Amino acid sequence: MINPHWLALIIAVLPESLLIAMACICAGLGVFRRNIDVRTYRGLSVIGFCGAIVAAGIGGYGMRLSPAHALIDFGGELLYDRFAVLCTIVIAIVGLMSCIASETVVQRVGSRVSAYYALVLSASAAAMFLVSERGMVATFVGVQLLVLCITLLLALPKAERTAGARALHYAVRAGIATATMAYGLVVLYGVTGSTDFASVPDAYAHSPQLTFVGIVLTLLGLSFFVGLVPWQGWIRSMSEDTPAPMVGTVVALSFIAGNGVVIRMCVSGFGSSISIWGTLLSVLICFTLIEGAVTVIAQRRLQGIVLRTASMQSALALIGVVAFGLGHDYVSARGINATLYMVITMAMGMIAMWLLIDSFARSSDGARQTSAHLLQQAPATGVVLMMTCSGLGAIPPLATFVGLILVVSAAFSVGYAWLGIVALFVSSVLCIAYIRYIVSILDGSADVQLRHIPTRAMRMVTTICACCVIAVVIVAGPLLSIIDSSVASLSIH
Amino acid sequence: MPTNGVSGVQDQAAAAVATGVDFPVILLTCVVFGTAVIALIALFLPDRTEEQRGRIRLMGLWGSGLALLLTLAAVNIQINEIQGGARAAYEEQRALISAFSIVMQYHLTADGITLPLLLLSTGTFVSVAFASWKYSERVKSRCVLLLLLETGVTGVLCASDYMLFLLFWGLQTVVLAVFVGMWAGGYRRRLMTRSLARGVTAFSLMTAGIVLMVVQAGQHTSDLVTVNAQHLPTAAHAACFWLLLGAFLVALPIPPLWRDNVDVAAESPAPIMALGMGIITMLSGYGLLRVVLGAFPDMVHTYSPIIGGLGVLCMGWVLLAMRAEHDIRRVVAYSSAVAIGPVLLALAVPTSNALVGAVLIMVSFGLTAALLSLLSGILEDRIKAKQIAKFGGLGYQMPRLTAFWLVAILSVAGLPLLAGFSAEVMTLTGTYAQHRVMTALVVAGIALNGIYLLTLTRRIFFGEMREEYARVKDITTLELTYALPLLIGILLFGILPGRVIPLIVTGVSQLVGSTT
Repeated sequence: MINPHWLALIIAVLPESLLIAMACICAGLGVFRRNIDVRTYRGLSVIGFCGAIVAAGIGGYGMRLSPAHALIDFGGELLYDRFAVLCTIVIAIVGLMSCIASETVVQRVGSRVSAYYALVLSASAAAMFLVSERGMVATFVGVQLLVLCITLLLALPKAERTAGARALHYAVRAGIATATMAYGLVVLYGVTGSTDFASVPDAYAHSPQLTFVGIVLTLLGLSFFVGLVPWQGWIRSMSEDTPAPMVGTVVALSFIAGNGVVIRMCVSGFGSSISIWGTLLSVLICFTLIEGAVTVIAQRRLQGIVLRTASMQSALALIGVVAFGLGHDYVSARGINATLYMVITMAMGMIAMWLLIDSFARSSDGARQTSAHLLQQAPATGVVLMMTCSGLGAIPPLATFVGLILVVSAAFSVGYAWLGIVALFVSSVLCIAYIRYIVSILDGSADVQLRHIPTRAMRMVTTICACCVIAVVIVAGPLLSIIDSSVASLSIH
Repeated sequence: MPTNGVSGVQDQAAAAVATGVDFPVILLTCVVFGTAVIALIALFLPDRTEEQRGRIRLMGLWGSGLALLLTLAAVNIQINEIQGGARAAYEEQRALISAFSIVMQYHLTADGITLPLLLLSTGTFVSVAFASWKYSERVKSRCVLLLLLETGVTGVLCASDYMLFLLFWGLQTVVLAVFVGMWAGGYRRRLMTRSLARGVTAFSLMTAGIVLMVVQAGQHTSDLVTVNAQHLPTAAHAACFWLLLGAFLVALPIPPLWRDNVDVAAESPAPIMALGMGIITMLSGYGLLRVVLGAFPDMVHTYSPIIGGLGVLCMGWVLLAMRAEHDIRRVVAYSSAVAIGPVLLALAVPTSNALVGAVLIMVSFGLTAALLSLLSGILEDRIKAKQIAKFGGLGYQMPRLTAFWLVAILSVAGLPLLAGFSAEVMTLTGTYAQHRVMTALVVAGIALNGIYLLTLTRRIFFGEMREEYARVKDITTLELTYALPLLIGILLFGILPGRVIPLIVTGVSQLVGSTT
């Protein structure tokens, strides 16, 4: 008879283990059997991600009877609860979509195909690891793993001379950010004498200055992964030559993991007894929103709009984290629910959008990437593009707008009305940028030849993701119920 | 609060509330979302050949026509049974989002205020669908957007949940901006950006006001009636009032922002102008009544002179600006803005009579503005010019169009037996007791507008016939098809106001009840 604790632990780590195992197999095959067809790698990756989804689903099903139940292990560093299960499923879906629609990326990475799939699997595992963290060591290890995988992914495209430089840029920025975070974690460890974030509130009571420094540095470092000011540059810098689907995968994984770890650390760790992190995060969000709005308004190309608005959307989602506590009437504002809703929308939208951008870049010979007159040339692509733009662009009544209303109402409820108002006005800029682009799709004045999305798999993934962006409005009620039950497992101080 | 002799009807309405209406329960869903479903189907239809484009046009017409037929049925049932009783009519309510701190509901109702405006909207959309028939460029986009715009407009009118109201308002703002961006002549991008900037500013103010109000109400629901019934903290109450008043005034828009609307109207095809002037402006008036007056009757009472004065000032500004214009479409666009004066005055003095009059003014000005917009489009199409100086003596060649034009102008001027008359009389008798000077000024404004429009009519249609216009054709059958329903609406609301006024009174009675 297997010990129930061990059985639970095996099920809990099964998604990550599966992905790591598949990554090892892909890497091994790449090293020892060089002439293997790309479909084998893709198949292995798909099996890994599907297995991870099923394993996480089984774990979630096991927790259904006691939503508050959670499994803590590995020296208290990792925590498996319904929040981790939900994030794991979302990460696995993002990874799965990326692998299915990877034809164009595979063409550009040349003989390094096995490495590409191994790295996507590993990056997803690192992201899953991060959303399950509970202590400082796990956070640092997870962050380093994610940075390493993304750096190597960015360096993969073989034919491009800039790939190495781009990866180095990312590594340097990520290095500075993680160093800042590590310094903050060290300070916090010094103050608390423990690697558990939950011990920080007690330390704050007797040593507020040092704890303040530690929290500020840790948050500043972590804000890199959600693209907040001053780190928003890494998203924009990878745009020019990076294969578009790769950008979508990297940004989506980074945002989900970043939001997950911020929620874990701030909400479950620091809690409402420390107000600094809320103030700091709200200031960073505010600057990110304003900076994004100022830069996006001049953009005419879709790529520019998407890159500049990615940070803004992430910042909008994080408003929910700031507004996690009790409202003015002592009822939970449920800001985290809003954050997760926006993160799911954003992840699906990013995958769809970058696949669409990929098809533009290929068909216009890289010179002018415009989708004008697309409706006449490729009606289905045009419709999917409009759906995705509308969903991501905070255009009412679609997904990001619904998420915006949720985060803003949470912010108003907990006393961050100023942030809510900033978010509303900044999101109107976002909306204008996307509407202008949608009109250019409908208008059709340019004569650039465009093609349909190249392969059936890519078409399928793009359509599914775009439909998800629309469908999350229709199923907002059930989706928020699922999110609510997963957020309920977070131990909120 | 005086009820001005409508208490009998109110009693009947109260009795109707008690009985309730349980048939048909998905009528409003069909009215609101029927057009969206047809838009979705049309989106995937091919539009390469003329036959395929014709099929799409027909689908668009069917969509709008279906909404109109359902609305007509709804209005007819309510009139016959006098059961527009408060807000129970055709009520549909179910939870949309419950796992959040604010429960959002799918809550649609159509009371006595909503139904006439719904009738105006759906009727105008059918006329616009016919008027768009002749355009052969981007038929699918036009058709789909038109149907989506109708969903947004009817949704705003029927929404009885603040969040739902916001979603529909946002939808119509965005779709209208896309319309402008695609079809508003050579400066369309600039016009779209301006129009969109104004629209989203208004929308952001509205969202901020509504979210603040819903959160501060502390009921964890965004249901319109529940939230309106709560007493907010003083600071939040004032902030919400000013945010929402500002939002609807910007969305209206009041002068000098009205100039944006005029520019768009002058550059857009006539059907889009008809929508902008006839319906979208009316929606802001509806928002002022339903949201601002419904939620903040005390603030409206406190700032009554300011709101009324703003209405008079707007009217004066519009009349002065109109005299400086030489473009027929710009004049028509300015003349539509004259309605802002009586509507704001009625808001400032929310008696039953004034509010019934305000609803009637929105309907009558909506009909006349849409008709005049479409007729000015026909004139521009025939003469190939928009400058008033180039017109003259057209009445000889275009007698039917002249008759249509005259009916619309006389309705604006308040001629008895036309829609404008009963609307203006009811509004002004309702406001006179409290704001005599402002009422007199509004009467003068309406009269001046009428005089100016009649002068314009003389310059366009009468006087010496010009040689170059000897072969100009009168209104065609297609044009008759879309102008006639609007004309019939003006006549019906003028000749039989007694049929519709009790219906409006039932809706207004609840609003008045909430303000007392």
